[in-house]
Amino acid sequence: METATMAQTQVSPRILRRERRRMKTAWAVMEALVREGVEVIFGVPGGASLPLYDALCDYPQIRHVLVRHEQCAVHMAEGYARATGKPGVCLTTSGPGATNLVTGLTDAMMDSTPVVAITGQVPTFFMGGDAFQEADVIGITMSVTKHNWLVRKPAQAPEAVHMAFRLATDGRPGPTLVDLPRDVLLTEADFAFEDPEAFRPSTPRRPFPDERALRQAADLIAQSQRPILYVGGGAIHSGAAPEIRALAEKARIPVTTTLMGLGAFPEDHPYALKMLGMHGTVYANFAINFSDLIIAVGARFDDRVTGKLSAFAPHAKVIHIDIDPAEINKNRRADVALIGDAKEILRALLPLVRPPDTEAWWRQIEDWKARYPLRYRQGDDVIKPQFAIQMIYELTKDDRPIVTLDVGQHQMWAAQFFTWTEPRTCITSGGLGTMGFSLPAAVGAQFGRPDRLVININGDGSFQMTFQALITAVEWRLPIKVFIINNQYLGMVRQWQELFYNRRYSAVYLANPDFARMAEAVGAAGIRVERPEQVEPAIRQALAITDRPVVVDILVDPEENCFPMIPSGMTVFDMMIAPGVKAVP
Amino acid sequence: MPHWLAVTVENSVESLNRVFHLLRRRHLPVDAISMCRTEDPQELRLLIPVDPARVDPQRVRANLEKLLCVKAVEDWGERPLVVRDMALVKVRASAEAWVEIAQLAEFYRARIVDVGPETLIVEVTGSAEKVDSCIARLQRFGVVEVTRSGPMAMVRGQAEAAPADRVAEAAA
Repeated sequence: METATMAQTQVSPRILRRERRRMKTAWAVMEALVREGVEVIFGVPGGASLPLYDALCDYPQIRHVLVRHEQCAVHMAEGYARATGKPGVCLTTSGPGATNLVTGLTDAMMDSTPVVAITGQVPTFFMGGDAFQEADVIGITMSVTKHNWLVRKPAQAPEAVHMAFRLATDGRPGPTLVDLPRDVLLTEADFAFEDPEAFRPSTPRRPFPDERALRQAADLIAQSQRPILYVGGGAIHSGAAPEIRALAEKARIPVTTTLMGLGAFPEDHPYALKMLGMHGTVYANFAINFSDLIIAVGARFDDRVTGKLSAFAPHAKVIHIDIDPAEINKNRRADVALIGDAKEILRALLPLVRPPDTEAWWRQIEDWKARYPLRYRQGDDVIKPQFAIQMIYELTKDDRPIVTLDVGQHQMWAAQFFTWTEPRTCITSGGLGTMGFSLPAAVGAQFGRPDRLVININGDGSFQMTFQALITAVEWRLPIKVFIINNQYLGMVRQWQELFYNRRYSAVYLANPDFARMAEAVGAAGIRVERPEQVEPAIRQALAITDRPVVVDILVDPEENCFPMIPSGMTVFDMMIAPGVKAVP
Repeated sequence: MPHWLAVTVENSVESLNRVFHLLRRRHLPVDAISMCRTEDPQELRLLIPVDPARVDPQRVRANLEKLLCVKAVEDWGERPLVVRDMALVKVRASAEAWVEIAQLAEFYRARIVDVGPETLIVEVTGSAEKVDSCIARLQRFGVVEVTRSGPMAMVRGQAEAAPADRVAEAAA
């Protein structure tokens, strides 16, 4: 619903369609970006991209956000894309500028985030000769983009840009890259500008699932006794949340989401089992593992979800709904594969669905829910990280914030202790687990959604990886709330060393700076919190600051562990709820 | 019996790079890929035999179809094919051995295409097994080097050429 209105607020690019003009290629690239409705670009200039930056002066409708490191630019583009559903755009120079994008592009590839990267390249007559700031960006980013284009002739430039935008969002979304040599950018040529939609890359012919497959799926649902909906990030890209809810309610099926799927089903709904997987709820993990039918929607049976694949949900049949045919039978064999857009498929499936009898199944699930709620114990002295996160949630939930999470313990606690109810409000690095993702992603999300409260929950380790994004946030006076769950450790690594490496702590202690003073030094507000009773006033104080970013450094119990936990490569029967204590179905 | 995928790609170093890059990075267990030219100089055909016991051919296909440089992936499955391999075999041969080598070549319907002072080049065409066998028999004379095309294949009796598998969706 939200994303639809966002798309409509765009100025229609169509009003500019079909014209022929003479200009330098760099200007033609800007024309193409305008036609794509680009409103903001995250980037850093450099030698090879100078012509693009020169052209940018003539396009004030495109805001350029200067970052302090290219990794921030691509994560900002990701944050923008995840918050809005529109492709995020980043722009860097050749060589190091472009190679600094690699982590973010990989992140976008893993999490199917539409990002368009535009990189300068050394002049064509230097290419291949190890010129200054030359890197084989096409070769380097081949694995981490859906496709990339090296533009050798001026006429190819607008076409490549339009193709990059179409491909980034078509089918399974993902990153694309256009590499533009400096001499091409400076060449003047006649450009014919078409409707951007005309540049659609050809796709394999793939029919919509036929009636027979849909009926098979409906029959499996009707015959099931212990069905479960397993919903991933694809459901959010597809905008399938209403259809998932309709299916769950029509057939009385419990719903669990992956980390990437948080928000695709409201967790305040009685059918919600919250997140599953390594640090998912006990009841979600029991439910999927004892189910007899998994309806996977835009999810890919990742190892953080399945644990030991051969032992995962051994009695379940699988209906796999995915837009990417290469996901079918990749990790788990599908009994019925429905390839296509999740929203469309669920719409076609819904009228065929006959509710199964799930009474006994629900009694079992309610029992698990009652026996294994998420819990922690907050004392008087030390702040428990879960308590801090829960307080952040309680004090901001009425504002329906967009929340970016980094990677590690705080990410899992936030996944657990927030009640996620709305798509595109949980933005985190799932597949790649990129520490440093969340602060720049928050900046990108705030540019995409200036109307919404943007919260960043970060770790002390991950905050230091892309701290410089805060400088950009200050420059643009973005009222982002950064909460550092500071345990002075690389906490998740420390937890693994404690549990699986005999407490031999190796390279996990962080001798941290004073983050509040660091924030003040760059012009943001800084608040330091050390005692449980200070948490609530500090959050309220942070929420009241709206003219600049604010960093709340919350010092928490350094050795708190994240539970439940299914150790890597193990099964649901190895699920720990405390050190040495296993959950019993 | 392998399961054959016939992959039509743009004829460029870049497109070959993309295909091989993908197969490597997905760790898809395919080897023995052969590359053929077709009636269209703009395209190449890669013949990829897939062992279904090691990987689902549909997964290989679905991954390949994501590449924009891949124009079509035809799944030949186990349809009846004409399969031909070709080898050039350079054999160390003194004049005394010529007759014997010529007779052996005759037996394999191979041809002697070059006669040097100390070597002969034998050209042999046929099934991979026949080519293997011919090379093995030539070993006793001393094989200096072998180049092989790898299998080329075509579906028997099919009237229409490779279908255009991709469609450019019309502008909305």
